[in-house]
Amino acid sequence: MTNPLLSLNKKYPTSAGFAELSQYSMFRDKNLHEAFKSSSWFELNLYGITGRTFSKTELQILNYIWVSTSYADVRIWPNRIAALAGSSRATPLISMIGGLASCEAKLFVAQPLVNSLSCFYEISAKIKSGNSLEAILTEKLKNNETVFGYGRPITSIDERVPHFIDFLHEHHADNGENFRLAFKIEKILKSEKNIRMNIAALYSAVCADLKFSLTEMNLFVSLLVVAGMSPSYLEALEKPELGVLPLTINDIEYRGDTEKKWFS
Amino acid sequence: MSKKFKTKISEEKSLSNDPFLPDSLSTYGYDIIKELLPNANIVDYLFLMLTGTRPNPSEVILLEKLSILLINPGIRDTGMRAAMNAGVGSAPPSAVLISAISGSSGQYGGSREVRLIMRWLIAATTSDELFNANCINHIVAEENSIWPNLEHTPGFTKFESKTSTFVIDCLNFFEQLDNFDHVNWLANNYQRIGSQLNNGLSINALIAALCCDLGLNEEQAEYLFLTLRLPAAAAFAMEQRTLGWKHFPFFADTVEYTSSTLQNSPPKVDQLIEGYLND
Repeated sequence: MTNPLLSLNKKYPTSAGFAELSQYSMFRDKNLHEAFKSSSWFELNLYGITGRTFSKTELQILNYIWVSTSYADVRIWPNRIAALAGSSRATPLISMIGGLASCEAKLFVAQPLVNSLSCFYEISAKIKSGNSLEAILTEKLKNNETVFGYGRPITSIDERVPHFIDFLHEHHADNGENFRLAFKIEKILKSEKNIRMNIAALYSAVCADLKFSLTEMNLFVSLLVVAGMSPSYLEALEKPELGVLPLTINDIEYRGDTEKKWFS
Repeated sequence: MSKKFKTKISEEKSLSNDPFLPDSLSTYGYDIIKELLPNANIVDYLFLMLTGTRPNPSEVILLEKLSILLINPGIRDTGMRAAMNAGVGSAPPSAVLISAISGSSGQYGGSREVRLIMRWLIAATTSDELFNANCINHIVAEENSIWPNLEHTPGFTKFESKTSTFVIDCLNFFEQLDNFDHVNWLANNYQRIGSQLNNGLSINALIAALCCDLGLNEEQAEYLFLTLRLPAAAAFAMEQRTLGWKHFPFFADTVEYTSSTLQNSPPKVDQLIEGYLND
């Protein structure tokens, strides 16, 4: 067995990019400083992730995905981490990195969105194979499988959902196959399980319509909530040191052992 | 590869033809299997890793006790809280510890503060003149720094005028443990300097003194501080993940939005959704 690392150790071919200092810098297959002069950073980032360019409307929609989840509430965990680090007077970047790292959580950002995208591809493929949506979902529920993107109690609306629907409608972009499928799934789950969609279903439905791979989706959403961190961090600097949601000893309910001896 | 990575720390040797598979590994010349595993303890190894030299017996005891002091800063520490915020959402351990390091790195209660305290503490213990509080700020001030402005005197608690019993007891413990120059100086002078500032001494001041007495430089001390915060960060994160996010305080009653901007309700989209279902 030949170890492929050997040849890579000798020669490392790359098409990701290349910098010839004092000359030029290539971003994938394009000259960074020339080809992207009229592009936004967001477009550049998407080109880096997918190697594709998107239409103006598609970019507006993908941008709105980022915009509509950029919550700046300090209570939200990634923002809270950035703010806590700020309260101890860490640098902006170190604070943001701490907040971003938490976005690897099972409960928000990358994992649920990627899982939801995977779910849409799975369900779409089964429908294309001739199965009915009802049968597909019945099987999933019978096997206790999670239908990612759906889990909101029926009495609670994810406020991002109506805004996102409205946005897509305004831009005449609410006719994607997976986008429409998202509501059909919700209708069945409302009836069977009293649950409705959260925004992950719609974000991933739209990204499925745009043919994102799972890894591309992961990369695309990795910075999804970063914009909300800056205001939280900056406000931490305006408050006293350690002044972000400060805790006294009385805010802690200790439930462990007391006065144990190391040597009995 | 025309240039090689240079190191005096770690040597790998391969006896086979596979240049990716080491058959032996050493740290600063000590073979891990033949010398370190049978003979070294973790404190020896930690000191060796940071400094490149083996600790003497006194340094072993000091690092051991300093490590115990560093490990758990309490659940309210910003690094521990950062870890919990990552852990409660079931972020993987690597992500949790990145968040913990972020929250543990700052100039108030964090690793950066230890570095700044060491700077003035070394000046204090080598000064021929009486060292006062007003000597500190110009020693720790940095030009062109990416760090936020200092708003307190490193090593002293900004909002408390007295030193906690915990800090005093820790200081006494180390005073009695051995004759440490920087710890002794701190013990003999903290009340005088504290009353000039009307602030109490913080635990980071003791940690910085111990790092000085261990012979660490500022950079080594910061690395040690951050490394040893990680076990407690892991423990707190795991605990909150197990308890579940529903038990994790959201501060719903505490946070109050102060802007006067009027908010609109989300748009009504029921008819649109009906349309999507009936297409």
